[in-house]
Amino acid sequence: MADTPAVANLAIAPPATVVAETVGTTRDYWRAIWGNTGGKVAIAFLSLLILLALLASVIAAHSPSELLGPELTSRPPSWAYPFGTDVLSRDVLTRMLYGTRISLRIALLAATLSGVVGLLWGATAGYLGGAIDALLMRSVDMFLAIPRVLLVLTVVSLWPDLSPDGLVLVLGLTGWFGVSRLARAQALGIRHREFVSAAHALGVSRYRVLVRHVVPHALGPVLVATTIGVGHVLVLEAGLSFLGLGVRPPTPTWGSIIADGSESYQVTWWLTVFPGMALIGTSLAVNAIAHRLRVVIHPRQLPGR
Amino acid sequence: MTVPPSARGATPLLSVRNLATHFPVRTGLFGRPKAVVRAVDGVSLDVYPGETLGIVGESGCGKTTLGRSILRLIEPTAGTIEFDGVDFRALRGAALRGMRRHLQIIFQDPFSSLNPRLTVGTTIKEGLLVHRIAEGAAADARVAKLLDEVGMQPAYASRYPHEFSGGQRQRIGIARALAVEPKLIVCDEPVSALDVSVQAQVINLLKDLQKSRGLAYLFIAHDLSVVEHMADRVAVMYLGRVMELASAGDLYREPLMPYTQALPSAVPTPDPERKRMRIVLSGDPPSPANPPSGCVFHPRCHHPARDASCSVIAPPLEEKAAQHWCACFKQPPTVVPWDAQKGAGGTHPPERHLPVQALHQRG
Ligand SMILES: Nc1ncnc2c1ncn2[C@@H]1O[C@H](COP(=O)(O)OP(=O)(O)O)[C@@H](O)[C@H]1O
Ligand code: SF4
Ligand SMILES: [Mg+2]
Repeated sequence: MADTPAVANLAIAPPATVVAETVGTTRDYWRAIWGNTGGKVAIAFLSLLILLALLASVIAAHSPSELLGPELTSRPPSWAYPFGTDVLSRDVLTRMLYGTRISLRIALLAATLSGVVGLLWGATAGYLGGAIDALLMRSVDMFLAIPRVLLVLTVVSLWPDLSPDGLVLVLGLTGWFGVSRLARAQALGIRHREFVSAAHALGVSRYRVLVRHVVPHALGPVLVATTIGVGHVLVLEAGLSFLGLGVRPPTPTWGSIIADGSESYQVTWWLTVFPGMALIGTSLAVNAIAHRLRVVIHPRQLPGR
Repeated sequence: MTVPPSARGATPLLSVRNLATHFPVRTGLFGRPKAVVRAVDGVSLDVYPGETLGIVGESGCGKTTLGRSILRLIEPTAGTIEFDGVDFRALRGAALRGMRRHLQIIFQDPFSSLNPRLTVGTTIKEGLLVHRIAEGAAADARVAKLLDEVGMQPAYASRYPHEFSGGQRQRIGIARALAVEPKLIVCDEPVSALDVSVQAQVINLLKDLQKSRGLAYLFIAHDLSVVEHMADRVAVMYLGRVMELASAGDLYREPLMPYTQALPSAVPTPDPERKRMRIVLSGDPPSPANPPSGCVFHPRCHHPARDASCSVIAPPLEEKAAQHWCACFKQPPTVVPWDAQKGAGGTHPPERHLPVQALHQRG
């Protein structure tokens, strides 16, 4: 079960040849998401999760590592402990609230890091072209040849006492290769457009052309890839925690809560079901949003805009 | 090779000498550059302050490459570019970017020349900001003035390019070029992509701006019909070379180069009794990757004195009459001696040929 999510992550490299046909404004993106029932549900679900995560310390009745006593170990859900308690007699609802905070934070930060690095890397390669492009993209090819899980596992097992921020770095810096290919394809598509030549003719520096003209053009596909990346990182992080390679205990994450109940999952189903549902729900929501964003970028590929 | 000094006796704003731009094409099995496309191959020309030099030639003869090479949007392979007394090809980095405001360009395709994500105002403002010509409210005021100058409402500054027609977009492109107060603008077929009804409006706008701002234009077109309304002098290009260079009047009255004679023109000859004969060029121009030997025009030439020497001797661009330069040694006078031509297999001595016929002769 642990490597199911990991295997799913092998397919993250999106095709490099798909170039966005249209550019969207922020309003177009928002409209595409909010103007659709699935999109609304996804946004509502994620907003709720984020709200709960932010308010964790206010809502939670206990502290996430507080031991409630030997008589309260592995209790099923009840009115007093709606999500039950774990083997160490900790309140699972509390741990879920704090775990949501940490899991979402890691996923959002790591996916954003991937998005930013991939965007800058690919856009620079595509815009500058020539030897720099070859150098930048050959190194991407090299990294893409190694499965991301393998890369992550290697770094994580060599990194003692990995903090949540350390995990963000590891997951973020192993997730941008596919993104950079997308960004490069976009940059290649516009580097010979005349408005880029016009900027050069005006005396605009290369750096400014990259930032003002090239990067914004690559933003759409990168946004979609980054959104999908959130789901990938969530699942990857859960898998690592499950293997005991993620954030160190007693820090709760969705994955570590599942791991806490893995020895006795036939009995303590609540340790698997609640974080599992959060994981699946978030992945579905994030993919639904990515799907809606894609409608803006490739309007012709999807009917029913 | 030298180029005529101005009839006005002024010093040129732009002096291009022996400019060449070759593109390597990778055709080898392992991507080795096997051939070069000689898109521009030894062009020399001058542009004087406030004048329009027309560049005319069939599609693919290297006009765009020439224009962009002069602006160093494409780095030339060889030759010199002197702009306003400065060796433009020697400039690097910030010095080059600083100089760029004086040489601007207007593009052929009004749809690819504007960034669809930026408002019209932002597009026009970019040059102002980069060269610190104006900032903040002063920059906005400039944008409004520029829009007005190109015949558009200042309120359009907050709109996006997709809201405008081709002609309006071309005006926006002109405003962007004008913002940095250039001395020279390369106009690369600025009306070719526009409806005929709009073409004249844009041409007139360019003429008005030239008058009010004292601009010099390098005006590129694929036939003579547009250039003849615009240009003071015209250079005719073929396969990356200048074949004829003369004042617009001389070129229409007395097109010496057989290629020029075949270019369609809308201007009737001044003498109503005489009419330009319609010469239809046979075949397509040869590939600039593999230009013909000798005179590159020889496979398509209709000059009655054309002979075997034309495929051996490369004709120099020589001054046939005052300020009238032409690269054809069969059009007298020529510096290529008849003996040399005979030595190269020549059978027909040079002979003046003009495709202008008296109407009564045509029956
Ligand atoms: N980047 C390039 N690489 C290779 N060949 C090119 C490139 N740009 C232009 N050419 C070739 O150079 C020649 C001149 O092109 P161009 O300057 O666009 O002509 P024009 O503007 O007169 O139509 C053409 O044969 C064209 O195919
Ligand atoms: S040199 Fe010969 S081929 Fe070339 S234009 Fe003159 S007559 Fe024609
Ligand atoms: Mg062209």
